[in-house]
Amino acid sequence: MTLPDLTAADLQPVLPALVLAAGASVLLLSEVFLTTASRSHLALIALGSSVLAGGVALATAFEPAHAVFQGLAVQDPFSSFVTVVVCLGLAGVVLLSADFLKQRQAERGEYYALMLFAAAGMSLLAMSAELITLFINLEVLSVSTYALTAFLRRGPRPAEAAFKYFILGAFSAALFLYGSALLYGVTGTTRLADMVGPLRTAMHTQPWLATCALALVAAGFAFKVAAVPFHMWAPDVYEGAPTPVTALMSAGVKAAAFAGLVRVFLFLGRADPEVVALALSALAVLTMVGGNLLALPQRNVKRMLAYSSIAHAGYLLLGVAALFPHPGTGVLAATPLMLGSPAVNSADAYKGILFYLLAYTVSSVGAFGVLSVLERHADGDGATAWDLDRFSGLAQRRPGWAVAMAAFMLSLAGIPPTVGFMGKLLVFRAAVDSGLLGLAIIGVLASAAGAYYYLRIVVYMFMRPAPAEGVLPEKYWATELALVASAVAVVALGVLPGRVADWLSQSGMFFGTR
Amino acid sequence: MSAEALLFYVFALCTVVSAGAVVLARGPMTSAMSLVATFFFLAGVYALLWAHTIAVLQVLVYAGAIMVLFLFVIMLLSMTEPEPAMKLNVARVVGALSAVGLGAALIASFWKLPTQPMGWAEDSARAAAFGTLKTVGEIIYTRYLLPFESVSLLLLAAIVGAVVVAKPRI
Amino acid sequence: MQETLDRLIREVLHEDPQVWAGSWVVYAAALLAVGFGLTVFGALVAGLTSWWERRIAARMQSRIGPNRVGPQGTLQFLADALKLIVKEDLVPPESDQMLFRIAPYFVMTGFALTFVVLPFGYHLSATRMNVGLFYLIAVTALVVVGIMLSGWASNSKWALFGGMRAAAQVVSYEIPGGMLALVPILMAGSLDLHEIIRAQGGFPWDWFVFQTPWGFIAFFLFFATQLAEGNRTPFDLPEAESELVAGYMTEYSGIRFGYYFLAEWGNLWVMSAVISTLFLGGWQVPFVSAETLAGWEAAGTVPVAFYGVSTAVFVTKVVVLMNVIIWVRWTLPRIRVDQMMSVCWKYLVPIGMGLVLLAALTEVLSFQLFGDAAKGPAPLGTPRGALHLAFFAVAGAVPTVLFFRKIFRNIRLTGDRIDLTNW
Repeated sequence: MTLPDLTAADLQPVLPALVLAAGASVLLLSEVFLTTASRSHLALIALGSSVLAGGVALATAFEPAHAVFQGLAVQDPFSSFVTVVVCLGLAGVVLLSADFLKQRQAERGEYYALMLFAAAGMSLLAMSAELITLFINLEVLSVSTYALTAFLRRGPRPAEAAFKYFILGAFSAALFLYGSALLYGVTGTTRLADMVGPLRTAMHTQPWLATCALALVAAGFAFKVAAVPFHMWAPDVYEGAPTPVTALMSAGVKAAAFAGLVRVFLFLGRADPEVVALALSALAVLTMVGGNLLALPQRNVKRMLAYSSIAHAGYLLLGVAALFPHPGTGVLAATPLMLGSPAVNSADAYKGILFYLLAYTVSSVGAFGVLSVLERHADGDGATAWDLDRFSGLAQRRPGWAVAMAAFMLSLAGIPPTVGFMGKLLVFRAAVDSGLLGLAIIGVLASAAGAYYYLRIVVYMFMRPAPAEGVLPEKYWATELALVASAVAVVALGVLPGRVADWLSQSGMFFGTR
Repeated sequence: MSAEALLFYVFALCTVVSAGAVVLARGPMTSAMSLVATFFFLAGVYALLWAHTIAVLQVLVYAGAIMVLFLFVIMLLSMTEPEPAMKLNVARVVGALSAVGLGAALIASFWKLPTQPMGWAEDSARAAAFGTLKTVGEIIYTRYLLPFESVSLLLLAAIVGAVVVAKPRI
Repeated sequence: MQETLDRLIREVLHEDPQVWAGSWVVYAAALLAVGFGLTVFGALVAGLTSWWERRIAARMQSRIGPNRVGPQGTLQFLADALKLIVKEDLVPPESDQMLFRIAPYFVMTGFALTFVVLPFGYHLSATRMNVGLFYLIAVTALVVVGIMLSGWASNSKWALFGGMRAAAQVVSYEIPGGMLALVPILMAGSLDLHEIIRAQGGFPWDWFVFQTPWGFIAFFLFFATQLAEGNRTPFDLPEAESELVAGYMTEYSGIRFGYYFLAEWGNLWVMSAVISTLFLGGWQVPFVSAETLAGWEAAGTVPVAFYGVSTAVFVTKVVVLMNVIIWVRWTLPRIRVDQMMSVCWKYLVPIGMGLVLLAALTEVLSFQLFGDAAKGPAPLGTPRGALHLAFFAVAGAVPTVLFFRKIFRNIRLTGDRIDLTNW
């Protein structure tokens, strides 16, 4: 048996993760040695690491796709872009956290360190191309977010949320692991690229076993991205977690989990594209419709945003389903496409998914940012902390925030001229192009229903009078910086998506495709 | 039947029985002890597969360290109040049905296994040194370096997370 | 072991066991016999140690100690065992009956299983494992499971406190213990106990304790962690007679009570054997160099006397260490729970981490400097051997001088005099 050597070329792709982990270590050590009264340096270190990591990822984003670490990981523009999105989201979340924690006298290095660990896990997850690596990195980000959920335990809600998240997360990890074990049993390898051939054979010789394995892996991911019917945990956890952590969950965790999902199923889906496409389409329909319908009656804005995050997972799943040739029969399909060749319109579909991830990240970070400064933070006031009424008359009290929030809401609803609209446009176009016209129509109808609850917030902000005794929030420099940046990004990318979209449609986007 | 096959069936049966006891036992302590037994029999299966290092690590880490922590927690929480009676509601019925469905699907998938061993990719690489600490160590530090280092990240994050969660109030 | 048995049968009976029809019966019988023999050995060692410890304790407290049964009271342990066997075996009605009954067997099993890999002399051990030391740590963990079980199942607050303390203590000290054991493992490049011994030499400067400063520090710290893992004073908090009656075994009586004591005294042997294997050269005999031994092995002419001498050397080292442990027990007071924890987590763990790093660095450096000669015992003529001797001189001489200076200073200041008349 020959043992491979490790070269410097292997280390270069994991550099963003290394930067993040190093930042986390600095934060942890600073908690021991740097005990000053002012704690603002913590956020600065975290911000600096995330910007640096994002920059490093951006600098390597245009290299051709290649495998590293003996095929355990790959570096391709796809993974680099996901890392950039994660780092962007992380930077925004760190800015939100700075004010949020200061208000609550809870600035701790561990908080930011856990965020950086989670981001390192996300970055590594996006480039994992082997089941063991994938699982461990998935756990890195999950464990960090479990702990972050329980970071501020004021009242019973956060504890409940963290416990629920932990138990269900562990359950989904077990499902994923069981599926991986079965896949290894079927194919004799854990490397995704080597798995395609044996799995295709096994689909004929061992159809039950192979399908069970794929289904379990898919269920594990569906838990992580909170797709219906695996979404039960999402509203409670989103509501119970500290608001910046919720922002990280909806931005970073979702992006990374989708990156993993795409990575796994682009390889494994080749074994039987029809079944995988059908399963993903079914998940997409359920999630889009379910998420939007469940969000409609919510008065609690944080809960509403949680359901909205489920709905957005549905649109993303639609984009993932568009990566596959569809089954060619039934109402969901409109135009026949050739079967067997992997990812027919892959370039467009990647562009759709990645642009959507970017769009959702900037919009949701902004939305949760406004929510984090508006929420009432007295102890034990339960669900009313995020009631719609807290947005009443915001336009008179803080016109800037109201305008920014309106932009985020329009973007989440998918109304031009925002980035959310461009994202939806790209995803739906990719879906239509790969023959999923029926699905795209359902998606458009679902997002039309979604517009109701997004616009309701805009109505409250601009057309309801401000409450008489409403506490006027103070100045929040860091949060406002994040809000301005997100708002600018939402509008700018919505009007001029050109550069980013071009980058995303370059060839060799994904390792293993042309 | 060779001695190895006989031992395998003994270990496998005992693993399944004690694993069942973990779930079905009423007292937490009995459950925990059944879990210890499960780990031991599982280690026996590993040893039969010539994975001696993994077998010993299984006993060392699980039966030793982790089970002691389990027992510690069980001792700290006095679980004397009786369990609430099970009530039938929609969620339980749906849960039971999906569990039964999953179980049936798995049983069905294992029902017909190939008589021929599958084309395992690394079968030819099995050598005399297979499963020894040296071989396992070499593989971990070269071929599986990335997941190994990720594990260190995971453990650090888990430790920090545990400390954060254990703090009475932040 | 099968090969040894085969060779034995071939040489003694001049027959090939491979062709026998029921050869597995022979193997099974041999296995049982070896297992029985080792367990009996463990029990005898434990019993004799119990007598020896009581005699030393008596000596240190100006008493006589058990001296009635047998010559000098050596058979006292048989009388005690007989008494424990015939006593009623009480199971408290409030306890968890089944767990209460099986808990002592966990302790006994964990204790007896260690003898599977423990060396006794050159080529003398039940089996050799490439993960020997791991195995040893793994099966020792069973002991603490048994202790916790007995603490919980007794349904008594003393027992519960004892069990909890034992769990906290043993799990905590396993971490620095494992790290410190890594220092000799790194120096030997193996986990096989015989390989670790063969990487050392017969003379003290060839022992791992005196080869590098890291080994020297690690030896003392490892000794402390072993005391803690074996629940020996000053770490005997789980039993703590003055606070917890008898800790986890408060509710036990009869032979089940006896099992705990058997395992506890037997563990003295196990601890000492492990320490002597890892740091003190094990069964290595002075003046028999690695080359000589290799030459004998290649020619198939290992003298029978060498087996005996190496065993004698090993047993001597073990007995000396056991005496030190007993001596510590009757000299030092018990430390507090919080002190026990902070010693482990605030001092031993960081120091252990540092030592492992330094030992690894030293190994890398040593490979750079000496190449292939970087492992194994080094003859005095070689640069590495000279280095070891120099360190031995410093590490041996400086503490000795300091020790005697301190002693004489104390005597001078207090005006006391050394009284050796009672020896």
